[in-house]
Amino acid sequence: MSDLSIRELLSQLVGEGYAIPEGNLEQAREFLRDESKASSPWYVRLFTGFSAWIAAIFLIMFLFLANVLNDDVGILAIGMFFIVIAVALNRSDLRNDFISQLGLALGLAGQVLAIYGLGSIFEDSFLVPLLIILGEIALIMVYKKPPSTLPFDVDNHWDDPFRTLRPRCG
Amino acid sequence: MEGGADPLDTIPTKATILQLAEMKLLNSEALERALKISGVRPDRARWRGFLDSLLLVLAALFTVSGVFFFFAFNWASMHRFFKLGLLQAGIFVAVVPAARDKLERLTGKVALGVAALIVGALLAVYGQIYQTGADSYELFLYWALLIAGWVLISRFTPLWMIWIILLNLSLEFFWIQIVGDLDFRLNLLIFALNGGALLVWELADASGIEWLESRWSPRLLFLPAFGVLVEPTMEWTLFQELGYRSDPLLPVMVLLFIGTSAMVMYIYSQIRLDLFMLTVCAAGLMLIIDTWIARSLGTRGFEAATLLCMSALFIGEAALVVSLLRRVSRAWEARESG
Repeated sequence: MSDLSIRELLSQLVGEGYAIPEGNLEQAREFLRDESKASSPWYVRLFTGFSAWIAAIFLIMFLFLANVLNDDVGILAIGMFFIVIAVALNRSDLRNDFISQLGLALGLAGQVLAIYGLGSIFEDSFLVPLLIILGEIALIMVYKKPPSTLPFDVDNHWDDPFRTLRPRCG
Repeated sequence: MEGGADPLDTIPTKATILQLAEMKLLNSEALERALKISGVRPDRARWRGFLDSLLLVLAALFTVSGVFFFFAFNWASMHRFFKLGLLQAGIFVAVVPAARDKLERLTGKVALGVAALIVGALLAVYGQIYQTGADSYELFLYWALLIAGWVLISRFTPLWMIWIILLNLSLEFFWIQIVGDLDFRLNLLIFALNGGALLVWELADASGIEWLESRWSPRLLFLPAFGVLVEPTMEWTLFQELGYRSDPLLPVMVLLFIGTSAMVMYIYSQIRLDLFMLTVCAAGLMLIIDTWIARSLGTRGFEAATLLCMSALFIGEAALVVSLLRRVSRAWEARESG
């Protein structure tokens, strides 16, 4: 890796004759500042993911012990409810560490409950996996908020999670 | 300016450069060029360097495992002098490039590493031929002692780590086979061994020895050193009132756990930044605190509520830890840019 900063990289590109729209620089700075706040090293993500799993398992155990989950449709409904809350939290503007951690735990617990509910309602080895796959794809599509809040024009293909799999042309 | 350094002065990752392109700051040609200039997309020379080291290390590892399996498979059909001679010849063959390349280059270091590993094979074969009834800790201990000189001169991190693993194995087998009693004295010794190695490593690194720069080895050393403190502390939180365990060392381990946590958190947040150490330390503390809370709640008999509390507790604590880590990291950025 070279030690060029983003600024030096951009000025070298300008020097080589590539067109860099200056007007977008300030917005890019703001966006990157948010982004650097959001990204964490892998061990921190491992830690938060692990804690979220434990929290989700405790939550599910609580629901079973408190006799909230007594029929299959109810389990599915509660699972879906948790997933909806998780997506809403993850897409909301007031994202902080607590909200995202809560969303992660609720999302995990919701998926476990929804999958369990689906499995015991339909008891079908073809239909259930199919529904799970379709449901997870739908979840991936809606989970992240597209950065359409950027104050300048962006070709919005953020809501297409498979774009990296397609060959880029041009 | 709030929030520390200007993000434009940071070194871009691949994700950052792709984001610049998403924001129409770079068109597709500029993106290609940016990936190349920043070194995110490796050029020919870097690919060559990478493949060189990769193939070298893989070749060394396959050669050594080939040697091990060769002896296991052809055991019956070779005379014992032939086996020992072959292994000694192997050591000699491996040492020659190490001596020729003067340990300045990776080839020399890897060759010395191969020789060090074959010494282990030689000891194992010797032990199989002459069944002396020796304990297996002796194999690891003698192995470690015999290669100690090579390790000292190698300036090669993986070889040092292998050596420390050998010492750990000797200690543990010695304890299991000779002492027999699995008590906290073993925890104390493992802590002393790995924690001591970590301390020496950091002190030597701080004094400017260049090849000690890599961070994975001190991090790897910290895991067993801290783990052997977490385990007794957890036992203490679970069983303190029941008098279940009356190991006289238990209070010592708990105090060591508290002292080590405090020291690690101070050193790696104030003297040098290492978020990995802080994360592991926080995870250990969280485990202890939550065990204590769960036990206190659980013994009073409201089980379902306890589970809900634990769930909320884990979410809250993880969020707290992440925001604290972020604060530490931002304070460092501000300190370095200001």
